[in-house]
Amino acid sequence: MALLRLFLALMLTTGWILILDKPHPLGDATLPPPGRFLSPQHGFWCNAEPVRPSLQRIELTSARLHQPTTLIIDRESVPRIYAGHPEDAAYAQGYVTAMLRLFQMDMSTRSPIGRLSEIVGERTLAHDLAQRRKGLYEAAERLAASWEKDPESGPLLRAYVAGINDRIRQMTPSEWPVEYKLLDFSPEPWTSVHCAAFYLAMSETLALTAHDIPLTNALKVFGQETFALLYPDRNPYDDPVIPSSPDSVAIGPDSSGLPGHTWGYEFLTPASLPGIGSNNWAVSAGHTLNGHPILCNDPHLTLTLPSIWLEMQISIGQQHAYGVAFSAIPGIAIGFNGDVAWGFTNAGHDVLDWYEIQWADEGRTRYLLDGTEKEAVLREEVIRVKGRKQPVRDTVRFTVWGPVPQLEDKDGRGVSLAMHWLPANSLDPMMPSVFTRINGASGVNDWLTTLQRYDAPMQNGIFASRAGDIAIRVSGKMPIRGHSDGRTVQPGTDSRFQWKGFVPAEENPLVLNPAQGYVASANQWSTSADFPYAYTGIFEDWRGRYINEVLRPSRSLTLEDMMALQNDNTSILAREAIRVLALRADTFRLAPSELEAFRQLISWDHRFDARDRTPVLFDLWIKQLDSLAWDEWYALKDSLPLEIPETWRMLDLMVADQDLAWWDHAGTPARETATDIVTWALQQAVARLMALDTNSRLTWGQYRKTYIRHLARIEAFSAPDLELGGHSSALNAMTATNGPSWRMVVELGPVVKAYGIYPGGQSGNPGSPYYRHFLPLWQKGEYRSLLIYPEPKDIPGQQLHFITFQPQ
Amino acid sequence: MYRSLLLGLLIVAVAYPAGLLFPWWISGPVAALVCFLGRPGPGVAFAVSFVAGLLLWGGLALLADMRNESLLSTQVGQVFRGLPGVALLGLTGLTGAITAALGGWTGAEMRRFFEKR
Repeated sequence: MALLRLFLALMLTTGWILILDKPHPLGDATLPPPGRFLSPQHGFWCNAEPVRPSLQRIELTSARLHQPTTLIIDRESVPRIYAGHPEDAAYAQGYVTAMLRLFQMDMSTRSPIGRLSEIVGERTLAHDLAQRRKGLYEAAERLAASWEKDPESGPLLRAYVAGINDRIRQMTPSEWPVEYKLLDFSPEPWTSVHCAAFYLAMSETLALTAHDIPLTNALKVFGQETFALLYPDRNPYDDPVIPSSPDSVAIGPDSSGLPGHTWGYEFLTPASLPGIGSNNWAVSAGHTLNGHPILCNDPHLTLTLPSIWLEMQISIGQQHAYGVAFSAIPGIAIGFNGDVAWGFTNAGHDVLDWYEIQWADEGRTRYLLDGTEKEAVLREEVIRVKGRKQPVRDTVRFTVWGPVPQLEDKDGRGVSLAMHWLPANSLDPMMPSVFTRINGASGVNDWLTTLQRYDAPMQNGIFASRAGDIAIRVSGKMPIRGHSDGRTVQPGTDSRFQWKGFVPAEENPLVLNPAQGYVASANQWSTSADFPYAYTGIFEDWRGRYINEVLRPSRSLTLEDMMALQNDNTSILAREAIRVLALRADTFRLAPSELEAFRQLISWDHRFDARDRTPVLFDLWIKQLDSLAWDEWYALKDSLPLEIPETWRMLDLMVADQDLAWWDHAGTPARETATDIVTWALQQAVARLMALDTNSRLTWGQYRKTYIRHLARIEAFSAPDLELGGHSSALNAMTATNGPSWRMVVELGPVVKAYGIYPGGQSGNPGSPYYRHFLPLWQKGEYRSLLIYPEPKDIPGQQLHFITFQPQ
Repeated sequence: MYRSLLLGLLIVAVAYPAGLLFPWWISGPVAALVCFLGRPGPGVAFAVSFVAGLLLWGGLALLADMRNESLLSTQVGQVFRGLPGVALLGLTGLTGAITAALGGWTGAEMRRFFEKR
């Protein structure tokens, strides 16, 4: 009997422990091992950081270090690094980034190279396969190897990686971020491949636009004449980054080499979303009230929690830099020091070309080039999938052009496209040390010299200095295309379509101290049409035009004006669209409620303010107008990826041609004109608004709602349903998922005054009081003072961590 | 009663440092060992260990939650279908309690088995 009772007790105890030590399915998710997860000494409670923390003093040693280095995390959770050597600073930066953002680092470097399924399972397998087939894992390994060999980047990167790994090693599993506990996996040692993966992820966001494929389809479906009419190479209203330049060469799309099949190309990668763009401008001393240059930058990216940015100060000797850094690249990406300020916007140049491959054999291991057969390089990709015993294996083919991401279109027809993408073929191994070099710049020449060696993704680098210089350099390699403008798919059988090299870096567009007294960029064309090298890309003009409109006549600008401008909700798109409405709408056809809506729109100030109702009406109308104008496109779009003509072109044509054949709606027997569809769109928009908003209270903020999503899409760790103003065409370029990821304004006077804010918080831990602490200010359009403290003793208030690293 | 209190305190005092070094279930073996050596009856062992586990896990979690002003427990509760933070505290306490209780009971049964032999 006693034995039986003992047996029963043992069984129950062991069973209980075993059950609670394993993950369990819960709906479509998985419950983490409950015992471990709930344990106050192992599980999520360990991530519940005290709201009123006390100072933690830590002393560490590392063989990596040249000199003693201090890392202080101040009362706002901003790390301040005091180092005597750039590699020591990189070490401390790696250490503190892992301390504050380890899970973010993990996720953001797994995703681009197709390693998510290891931790998530089947759900992300398709994503991982797509990333591997784009050759991104191979590219990350190759880039990392070249960076490691560089005499400047190599040691810097190794120190950075060592800092990250030392932090990971010091952590006990109970200290791992809560997401590791929820998803039940552990951090892995960091390598330079992770850094390269992050670099590729940023490049994908900024420079992997697959417009070539839907444009090619449009060219094939609608013919050359319609293509030229609806997709002009350039927007004539564009106000380019560089005010004017000398002679030019123009090359048009060349479809002559394309095979004669009639089907379109399958969509391989989604085009980047509108709203992934940025603003920057710098005003010369002569145009500001205080007589000091001011630099402003607000990069718009997909908004996430944790935020992409981590604010910090990095001091190397007497050089003190402050600003925001990425969580995988050493140095401060956008910021200032005691002499200069710098920033970036995306330049939008097309550095991705697609080539149609003709295979020479059934097994698709050889392809044709200039009439001869070439051997493809086959690489086996091994993807480990959580929950599967055997990994998934996939063979990726690499051609002279690059990897072949997809062998067939969705109907199983044999169209293979190879992608040639600049960032994956980045040539200069200096990328990991670019920011560190810029952080130490004391004048415009330092900055220019560094950017000469910057490869990709192409950026409008902006600069201002206390010495009074302001400049924008279009930075990165600009491909020279010989035989096609690169806007459409090109034949992979003809080597004449290869890039002919790059524009010499010193000839990249540059504007330095122009007579207009300011420099500005907002993802518009880099230059006017007379630039001597042909280039193409995805450019937006609305924001660029607005900045120029505001800055051109201004003479006494203040820091407050600059902040107001970054938060400005005015849209030129709205202004021009409303002009079309006023010109084309037939008010005699409108019912009283529609007429009221018409008057409301006509008298609107074109501002997408959060509390206003008119922007909702406008948004419904312009979307309706777009779908009526391009109904033939939308009818085909489900079966064939097609580029929808840009809004500026639609509006322009509506003014120019009341009777354009495309205005006719295919679903009606009548032949519609611009007036018909403008009026009809308004009627539909009013009906839709009435259905949506029965109380007439729906504001723009409530209707649009901005969602700042947690990186692992855990809703409780996100910031959903933010009611904010702004629009992708306004300087405050807010959309449902994207927006100003960092707003910074710097005045370069005798004492540098800087202000900044980002939507998130310094800590990546949802259980920290610093997880979302900057968000309320950002929502209100307010800023924090950004202060450099040259010595640790200058830092005021209670500090959170005081860490000293001693060389071994 | 005094003896039970002492046993309970002993379980807490040993399980806490053990928890810093060993996996989450260590309070089970600790309670088993204490009850094996302390010789309570199985019922008392279960009850004392239950209370000790509840106090240790529930107490530590409560302390963390109070210092955190429930920032994290509220969010983790939302992850699990909107559980209130208090329910997570309860679940934590209960898990610690049952783990220790089963351990304590096993220890007592083990003692009884060896004594009978």
